Amino acid sequence: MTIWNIFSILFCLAGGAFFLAGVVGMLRFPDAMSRLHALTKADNLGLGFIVVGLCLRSLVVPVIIKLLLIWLTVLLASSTACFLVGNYILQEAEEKPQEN
Amino acid sequence: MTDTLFDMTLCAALILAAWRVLHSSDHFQAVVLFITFGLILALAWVRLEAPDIAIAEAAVGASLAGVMLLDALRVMRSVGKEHEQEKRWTSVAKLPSFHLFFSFATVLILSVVLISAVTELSDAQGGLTDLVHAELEGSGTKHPVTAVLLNFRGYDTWIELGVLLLAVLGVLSIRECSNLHSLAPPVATTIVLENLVRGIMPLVLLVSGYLLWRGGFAPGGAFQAGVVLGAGCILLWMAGHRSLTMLHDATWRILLILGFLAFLALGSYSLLSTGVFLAYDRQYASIQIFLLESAATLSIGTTLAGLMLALQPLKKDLPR
Amino acid sequence: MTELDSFLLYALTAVILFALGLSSLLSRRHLLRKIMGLNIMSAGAFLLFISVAHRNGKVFADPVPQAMVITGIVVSISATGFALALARRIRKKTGLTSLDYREEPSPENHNRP
Repeated sequence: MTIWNIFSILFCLAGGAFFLAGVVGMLRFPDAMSRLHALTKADNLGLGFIVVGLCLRSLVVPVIIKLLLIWLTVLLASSTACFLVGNYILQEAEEKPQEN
Repeated sequence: MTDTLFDMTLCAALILAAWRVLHSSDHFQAVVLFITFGLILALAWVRLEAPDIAIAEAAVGASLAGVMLLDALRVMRSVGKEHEQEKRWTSVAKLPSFHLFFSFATVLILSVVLISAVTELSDAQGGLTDLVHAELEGSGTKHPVTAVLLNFRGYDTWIELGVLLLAVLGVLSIRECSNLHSLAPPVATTIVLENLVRGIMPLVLLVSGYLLWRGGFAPGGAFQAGVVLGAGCILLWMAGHRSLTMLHDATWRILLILGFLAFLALGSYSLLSTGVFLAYDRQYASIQIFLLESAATLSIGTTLAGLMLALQPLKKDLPR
Repeated sequence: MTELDSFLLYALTAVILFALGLSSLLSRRHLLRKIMGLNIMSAGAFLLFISVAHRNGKVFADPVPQAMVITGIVVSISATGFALALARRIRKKTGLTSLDYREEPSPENHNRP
């Protein structure tokens, strides 16, 4: 059980804890916007921790670069998705008073 | 011990997700859970030591099937009072009782038969691993799954490309359109999505080419690369980017039939020269496999994108 | 022994998935549920294939069932695409979302983009 293994286990557990926190936020927050906020932030951070934990497991430079690239791409995609969902929620909220 | 625990959790999650897909009352919830089911299934493929299938399942089940189902859901939704009627309508309890009894009895009998058959399978038998590894050197690739797909069972891959082509032709004939130009040009969306797609599309092409190249010696291959390419093209269209409409009409048609034609041409050439359809010369096997894989990738990507894009609004359907 | 247990676990899960999918195909009315049930049935069948392949291979999992399942995944997505096109056409032409004669046709939803 080298020191790298211990640290990687700790980072992966932290990532899992952040994912769990995000899911709890999604289930317990009152409206869509706050749920979206909790889920996106916690998921991105959780993935970052898991990526760092995996980088510590394989201390080979090409694999580390690939893992960091994966994390960056997922960050981009998930923030765009968050923006699109938030946009849709705003549009829906604007249409509702007009219908009533 | 922890392996078994992880496997049991994974299988329980699969069954739970499938149950919720089929028995939740909200259709949107069912589609989202279906996407989740696909991703958990990709984890199961990794546990069963099938990384090729994991890549294909994550790309197909999660992205392509999810996008198609969400788009269909948008069309098939009702609004207002009809929504209540639809919710009541889709509940199982409203079915005539004979129909319900018959379907559950069938499923029960079938599961009992299947479970008894599966438990009889427990005696470990040979399998084809050794045979494949014995023939691997002369096959043209170093990865067994690619060798099986494109060399030993190349006939199946050819027919599968034909099935894909048939599906696209079916969708096109339902829509009564025959080419890319009868689709209405994509609607421009927000700046954020446009710029993301502008930045990410080259990366998608790179990943697709990388998966294609990697299939020669590691998990990857033509199908995974084609699926990633198809998903990238769908994303391009959905984001409102016009680059796909600038392609010439013939380009799309040629790309659709390229895979099927490549196999047919190679097979006919080998039929004429050696008397066996789709025989691989040991010297040139790797070149043949590379050509077939590239043609198959382009074809699969265009076909899968066409399955989704042919369902978008046509020019003649738009309100004037 | 653990190899046998893992095979049995995944094979039984595959049978349960197949049964769930078949029950949805037979008893749900809405066309989208039927299509999703069909997909889950095929997922169950593929899981059975690969659990047999995993049990067979000692060093490397048996590649022939893996190739068959990759082919099967692509074929099932094309069948799903075609089935969805048919379902959308039925909805547009008749206003129904199922193949049941007792359903009343509902108008299309033009509000959402």
